[in-house]
Amino acid sequence: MTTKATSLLLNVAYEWETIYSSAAFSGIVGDEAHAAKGGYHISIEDQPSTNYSVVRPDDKAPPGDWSRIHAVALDMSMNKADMILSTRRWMVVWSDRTDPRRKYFNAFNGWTGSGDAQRWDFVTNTVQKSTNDHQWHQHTELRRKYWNDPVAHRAEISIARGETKEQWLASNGGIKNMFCNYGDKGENVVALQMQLLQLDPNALPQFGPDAGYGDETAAAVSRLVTGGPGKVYQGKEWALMQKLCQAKNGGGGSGGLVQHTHTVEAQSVFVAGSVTGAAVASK
Amino acid sequence: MTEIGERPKWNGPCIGGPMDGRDGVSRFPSGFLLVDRPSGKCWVYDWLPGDESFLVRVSDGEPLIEDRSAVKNRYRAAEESEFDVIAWEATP
Repeated sequence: MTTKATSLLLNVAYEWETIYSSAAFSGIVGDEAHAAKGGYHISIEDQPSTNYSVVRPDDKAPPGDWSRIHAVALDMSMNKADMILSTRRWMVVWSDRTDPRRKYFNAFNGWTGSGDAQRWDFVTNTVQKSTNDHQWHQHTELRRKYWNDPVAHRAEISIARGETKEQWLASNGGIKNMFCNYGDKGENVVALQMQLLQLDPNALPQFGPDAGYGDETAAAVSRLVTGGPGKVYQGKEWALMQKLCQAKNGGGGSGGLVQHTHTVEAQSVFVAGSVTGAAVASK
Repeated sequence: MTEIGERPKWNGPCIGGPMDGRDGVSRFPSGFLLVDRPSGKCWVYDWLPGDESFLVRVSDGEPLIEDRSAVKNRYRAAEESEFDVIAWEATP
């Protein structure tokens, strides 16, 4: 099997754990038995071309040019109370056809606390019975075309937090939190640190991805990405990071964390940071 | 992990630890890791194929190791394909 997890989706798992006290990351990449059945825990490469998870327009590649080696599903185990809360938060977004976060997701499986677990499909707008292991873990699927889109991953965290559509829109799709500077703390720093670790697993030897942009992170940014002091991570530095990650993972549509520049979201992110400078992290 | 359709699961009674006497389930062949994040503890339950049951390794539990660089840390269970990860129901 060649299926890999992206650092962006791993970061969603770690953020999810900060939202729900009982939550425990329980998986992104499926095992061999799962590969035999296919699905979003398995890469396009590792399953038949007719599997349900690789045939929808936003999943099929080719003609899409997105990764064929990455999983796009996340499992989070939670206790009953958190399962119910999380599932209801996702149901709110699923129910509102005007919520812009819907477009990033294919489906999610969860449980409302009684009866069977269910699967809510964002593409067909249908609900069906699911396997009951989803009574104790929530399963979420990105559409494969968004496998490395930071905004899509921000949307996943936003929904898990229970943010309203209005809150999401007011945050400009999470774009204001894309970047960070020396001294910042928070999820934007974690996202940066996860990408540093992708470039070099030993990039943060003392503190790891601790959400704080201190001397260790600055040194890693300097050494691996920008040169100089490494204390600024805005549009230009972010774009450079994506190129480096792409190169590290083999480039193009077969790997890496480069943003798809053909997406509107990706272009707006880059413009916001590099031209207007308006994307300074608020934390 | 199955989102559509069934796949193999391992079901059986648990022996020892907080799940003693209750039925456990795992989607992976070696057993499951029961995680109680609020208390910072975890319990490893190994699947016993001959007995069709799960046996706890340490009844009182073990520290939940959050350090991802540590050899034994809880994220390994999620990243590998041997143990399932299940949240402890007794958390608030």
